[in-house]
Amino acid sequence: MSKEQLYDLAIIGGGAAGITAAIYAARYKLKTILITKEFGGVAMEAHNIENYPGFPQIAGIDLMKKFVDHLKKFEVDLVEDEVGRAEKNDNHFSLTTKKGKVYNSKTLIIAVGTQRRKLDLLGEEKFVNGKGISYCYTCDAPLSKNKTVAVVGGGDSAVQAALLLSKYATKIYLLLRGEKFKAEPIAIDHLLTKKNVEILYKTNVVEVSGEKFLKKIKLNSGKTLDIDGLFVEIGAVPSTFLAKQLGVAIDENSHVTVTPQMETNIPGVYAAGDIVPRFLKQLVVAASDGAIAATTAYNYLMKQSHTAKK
Amino acid sequence: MAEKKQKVVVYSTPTCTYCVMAKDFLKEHNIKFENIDVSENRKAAEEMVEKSGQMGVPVIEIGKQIIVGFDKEAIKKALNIK
Ligand SMILES: Cc1cc2nc3c(=O)[nH]c(=O)nc-3n(C[C@H](O)[C@H](O)[C@H](O)COP(=O)(O)OP(=O)(O)OC[C@H]3O[C@@H](n4cnc5c(N)ncnc54)[C@H](O)[C@@H]3O)c2cc1C
Repeated sequence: MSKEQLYDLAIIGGGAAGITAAIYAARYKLKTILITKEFGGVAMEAHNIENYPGFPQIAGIDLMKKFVDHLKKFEVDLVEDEVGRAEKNDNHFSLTTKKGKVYNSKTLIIAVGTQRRKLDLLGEEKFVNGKGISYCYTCDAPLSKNKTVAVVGGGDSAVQAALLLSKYATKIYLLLRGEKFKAEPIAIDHLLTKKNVEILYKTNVVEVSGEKFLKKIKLNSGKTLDIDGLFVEIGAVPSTFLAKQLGVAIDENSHVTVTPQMETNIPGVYAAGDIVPRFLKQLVVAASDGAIAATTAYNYLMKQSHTAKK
Repeated sequence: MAEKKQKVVVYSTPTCTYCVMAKDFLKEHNIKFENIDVSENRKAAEEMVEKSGQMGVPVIEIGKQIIVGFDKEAIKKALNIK
C-alpha cells in the first residue's frame, strides 16, 4: 500500500461504531480506510444479545460477523493493525501503526471503544491471564464447572456473568459495591431465581491471595471467601491516548467530548461509540454514533472542496 | 501452502469468542485440528492447566508447542502459514 495515498476518511476501530461509520462513508463515496486491532469489537464477547432490533436472540460473535460481512460489500480499505500514533499535519492527519505503516487522511473518526476496568488491588496482576482473575466471563465462565466463584460488579455485564456462571459453578457470590443493581430489570429478575447465586451488597474486595492460582479473597467486611475464580465486571474506561495525541478535548470521566454531530474540538476529527459520553453504552447507540460521524465528515469534506473550488 | 504434519489441538469452551476465532482461522487455512471442550471434559481441563500453566482458553497445542490465547502470529509461525 502506498504511503502517499491520501484518504478522505480514516476510521480507527472496527466495532459497531467504526463499522457503521465505514458503511455510511462508503455510500457517500468517500475514499475510506478502516484500521482496527480486530474486527467486531467488544460485542464479540457478548454471549447473548437480545436487544438489537432485527435479531431477537443472537450471540455477539454472530451479530458482529454480520456487521463485518455487510461492511465487506462496500469499497473500504480494511486493515487489521493497531494505531499507535496519530498526528495532525498541515492539511491531513497521519496514523502510524504497530506494524510500522503510515496512513494519511483528510478526516478521522476515532471509534476505539473502551478497556476493561481493573480492581486496582495489590497482587491483582499475579492472577490475571488464566490464574484466577478474569475480565472476560464469556471466555472463562464455562471453566467453572463444580467450582466456587465470585463476580464483582452490579451492572449488566456482572449480572450476565452471574447468569452464565450459574449454569456451571456450584456457588457464585455476586459482590455489589452499593445497595442496588444498575442492570436491566428483566435480567435481575432472572438472576434472583438462581439458587446458587448469593448476592452480597455493600461489598468490596480488599485483598486477593493464593500461590500459583487465586484461592482467597478478603472483603471489606473482614470476611474471607475461598474461591476458584474471580470475575471482574466493573465497567470500562475509554481508550483516549490517540485522541490526546491529537489534542482532542477529554471530559472529567475520560470520554471524548463531542457535539451532537460527533465533532470534537479539532476540525476534521470525529468520535463515535463507547468512547464518547453516553448515558447508554450499547450497540444501537454506537452504530447510530458511527452513522452520524460519517455523515458529518462527509458534509465537512463537501464544504472544504466547495471552498477550495471558489 | 506449507502444511506441516503436526498434531493440532484446540482447548476451548463453547462461549469463548477467541476460541471460535481461532477455530475459524484454522479452518480458513485448511488445518485439521481436534477440538476439546474443557467445560465438559474435566480431565482435559486439568491437562490444559498442566501444559499451559494457566486456565484461560483457548489454548492451542501445535506439535509440542503451546500457544495461550488466539495469538494469530504465533499460530502462523508454528504452522508455517504466510
Ligand atoms: C460482555 C459484553 C456484553 C454486551 N452485551 C450487549 C448487549 O447485549 N447489547 C448491546 O447493545 N450492547 C452490549 N454490549 C455493549 C456493546 O458491546 C458496546 O456498546 C459496543 O461494542 C461499542 O462499540 P464501539 O464500536 O464503540 O467500541 P468497541 O466494540 O469496543 O470497538 C472498538 C474497536 O477498536 C479497536 N481498537 C482499540 N484501540 C485501537 C487502536 N489503537 N488501533 C486500532 N484499533 C483499535 C478494538 O480492537 C475494537 O475492535 C456488551 C458489551 C460487553 C463487553
